[in-house]
Amino acid sequence: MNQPLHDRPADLPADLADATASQLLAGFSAGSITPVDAVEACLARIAATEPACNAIIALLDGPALAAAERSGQRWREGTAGPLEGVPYGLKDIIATAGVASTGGSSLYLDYVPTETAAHARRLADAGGILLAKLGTFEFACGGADNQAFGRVHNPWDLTRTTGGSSSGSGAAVAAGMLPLAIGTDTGGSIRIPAAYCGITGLKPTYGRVPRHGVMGLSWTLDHAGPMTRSAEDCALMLGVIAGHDERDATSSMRPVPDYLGALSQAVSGLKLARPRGWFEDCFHPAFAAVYEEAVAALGGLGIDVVDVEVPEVEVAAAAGWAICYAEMFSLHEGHIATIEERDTMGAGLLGAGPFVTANDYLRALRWRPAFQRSLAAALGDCAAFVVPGATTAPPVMGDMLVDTGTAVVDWLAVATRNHIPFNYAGLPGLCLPCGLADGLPVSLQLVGWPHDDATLLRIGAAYQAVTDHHRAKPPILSAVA
Amino acid sequence: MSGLAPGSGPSVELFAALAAYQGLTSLTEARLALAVASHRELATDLATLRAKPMAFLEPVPEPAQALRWLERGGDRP
Repeated sequence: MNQPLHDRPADLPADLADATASQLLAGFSAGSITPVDAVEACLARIAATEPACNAIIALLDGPALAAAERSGQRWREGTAGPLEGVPYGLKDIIATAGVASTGGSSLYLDYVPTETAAHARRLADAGGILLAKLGTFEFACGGADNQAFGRVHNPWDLTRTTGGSSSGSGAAVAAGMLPLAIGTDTGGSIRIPAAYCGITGLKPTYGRVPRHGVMGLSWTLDHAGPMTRSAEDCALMLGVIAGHDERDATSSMRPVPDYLGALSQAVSGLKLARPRGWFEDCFHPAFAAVYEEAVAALGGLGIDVVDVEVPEVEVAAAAGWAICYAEMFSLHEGHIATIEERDTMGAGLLGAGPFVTANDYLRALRWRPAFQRSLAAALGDCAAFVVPGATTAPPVMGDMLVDTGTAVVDWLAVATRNHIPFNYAGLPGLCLPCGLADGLPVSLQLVGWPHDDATLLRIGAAYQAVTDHHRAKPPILSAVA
Repeated sequence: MSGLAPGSGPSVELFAALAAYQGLTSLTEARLALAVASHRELATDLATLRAKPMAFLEPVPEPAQALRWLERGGDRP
C-alpha cells in the first residue's frame, strides 16, 4: 500500500499514479515506496478512469503485480535495472509473446505472438512492468471508430478523440493510468495524440528504435517511440529501447548516447529555426496565441529563435502520403479479401491504395534525399526546428472535423501536415505540452538533426524545468481527486 | 493513369474496374464510395508529386541514400 506522505521524497506526488517514471525510480531507490505501491496506484487510477476513457485493450494486472513483487526484491538485493518496477503500456500493434496482440482489429483478436518485439523485450529486461496493452486505431490507420474495441476518449474532453493512431497510449498516460507507453508513428501517430492529450511524445530518428515485432503500416515511415509525462521520462525510456537489432536491417548501428546525461547540459546559446508558412497556415488563433507564448518562453531560456524557410514542404507531404498508401497496400494485401471487416477509415485508405502507381512510389523515394538536404540547409547552424505540435483542438468524434479559425475541415490532413514531412525525412520530433486553449492542450514540436534526439530532449527538459504545462491534469482527474 | 488529367481521378466505374484488376473485388457500394473519396483526397497530393521534375543524369541509389544520410547525422555542418 502507499506510504504516508511524510515518508516520501519531497517531490513524490500524493497519488503515485501522478508520478513520473523518474520520480518512481527515485522513490524505489530511497526505499520509501515499492513497485507494488506503484502498480496498485496505477490500477486504482485505471479503475477510476478507464470506464470513461476506454484506453486499454488488455489489462495485465495479475502478472504485473507478480512482476512488481520480483522488482521489489531486486531493489532490495541491489540488482535493479534502469526501469525496475516502473509500469508501462504498449500500443497493441506491438508483439508480446504469450499475450494477445490484436492490432486493434477484429481480424487479429486471437493472435498470440510467440516472440516479443525487440524494444518491448528491452523494456522488460530493464525491469519495466507491462501493465496493459493499449488501444490503437485499427492497424495504426483505422480511425477513431474501432468496431472491435470502441472509441478511445480524450481525458481532456471525453467527446473528443485522442488522435491517433496511438490513441490508448495518449489517453492512458494523460489520465495517469501508467507513466510510460510506447506508441508508433507513421505520419504523426505518436505526436498527434501527445499534442491532443497534453503529454510528451518523441518520434525518434528513423532507425533509432528497431521495428522488429511491430505490425507495419509503411516501413519507410514507421517509427516506435516513448509517450510519457516529461521529457526526462522520454530520455529514460529512449535510452532503454534504442539500439540496433539484427532483425531490423534499417535499425541504426550508431551507439546509443546517454540521453539522461545530456539533459544536464545547458541550452542557453542554442538557436532554433522557426519555419512559418506551411507549418502555421492552419493555426486556430487561440492555439496560435498560446504557441507564441511558448516560443517566447524558449527565448527566456537563452535560446535564439530565428525565422527560416523550408521549401516544398507540400511536395514532402505528398510524397509521404504516396509512400504510405503504396506500402500499406503491399503490407495489407493479405487483408484485401476481408476489407469489409476493416474499420471505416482504414478500409477507405486501403481502397485507394491501387491508385498510387509504381512511378508515384519511386518518385517519392527518389525525391527524399533532396528534401533531406533542404531541411539541413534550412537548419544551418540551428539545433532544431520549432513548429506547432497541433494547430487546432482535437476533433469531436461525432464528426471528426477541426476548426482552423478560417475553415472547418476534416481532421486528418490538418493533424498530419506538421508531422508526415518529418517521417518522410526521418528526423526526430518531440512534442511538448505548452499550455491550454479553451481548456484543451496546446503543443509545440521540436524537430532535430538525425540522431540528435538528445538535443531535443535537453531543450524539452529545460523548458519543462521552468514551466508547469506538462503537469496540468485533465478534468477527468478532478472526479478522481 | 490512362490519360487522366493530374488530380482529376477516375470515375467510380473506372475506379472499381482498376481496383478489381488489383484484387479489390469485395468492396460494397459504401466502401467503394469511401475508397473513391480517399483517392480524390490523395489525387491532389499525387498531382503535386507528379509535377516535380526528376533528374535523369544522376545516380539513383534509393533508398540507401536517404538511410545513409540519416546514419551520418544529416551531414551537419
